[in-house]
Amino acid sequence: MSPNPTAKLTPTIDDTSAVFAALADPTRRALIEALTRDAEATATQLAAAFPMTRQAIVKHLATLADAGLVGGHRVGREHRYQLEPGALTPAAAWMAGVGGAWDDRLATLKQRLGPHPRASRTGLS
Amino acid sequence: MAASPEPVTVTRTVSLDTDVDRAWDAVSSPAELGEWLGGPVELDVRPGGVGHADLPDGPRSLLVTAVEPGERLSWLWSDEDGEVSSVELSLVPDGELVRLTVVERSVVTTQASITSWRFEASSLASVRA
Repeated sequence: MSPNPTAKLTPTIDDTSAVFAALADPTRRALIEALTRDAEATATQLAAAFPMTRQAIVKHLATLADAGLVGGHRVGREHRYQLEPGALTPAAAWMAGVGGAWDDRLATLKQRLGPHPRASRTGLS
Repeated sequence: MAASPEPVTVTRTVSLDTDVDRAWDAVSSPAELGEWLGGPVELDVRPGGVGHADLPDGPRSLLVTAVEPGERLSWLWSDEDGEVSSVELSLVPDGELVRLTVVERSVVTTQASITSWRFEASSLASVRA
């Protein structure tokens, strides 16, 4: 492996907590998942899948870039984003996957139980 | 895929608009668990009880580690790759609501111990089938 001054070959504690902080947000985890699927995408393409503005997506992508998770390059007038190879440590990938799964499950549970089931416990769905 | 060498924890909290009894049913009845975990769950809900779950991201073997009715349910589960994590669901009344906290933690354990209870879980499944 050739030395690369910008590559984080030995993550420090600070790197790790930046990664965890970046992945604490469900939108940013979803962006990581989207980039895992699509390899690379523009902010406009990514924004189409989220209920928020392109500007908000760019901000989230900047946070992910600061944590070293996402990089970008220009193709013509487009800025395309992609995952930084090897940036997602096994721990961060585990947290993103497990956290995302619980977000989905708990949203389903919350929907099943609420609102106000006390008034009617007949369990009709 | 190799498990992380150090335990990693994911914590989620959600407020449920229901009472503790109903919330406990939802987290401790295998049929109800299956409804919101995303696939059928078969589980002997008592400490040491085993079972399995067919989740959207693959099957899991489960081993129940703690049951405190109305308060806490914990289990270990492992996926097809043999990666094990612990899950703790705890309920706390919060005014008119119930706060459910989920903590999932990666577990570093020996392959032998996992294999033994995976085997036990699949034996149970075939006996019940």
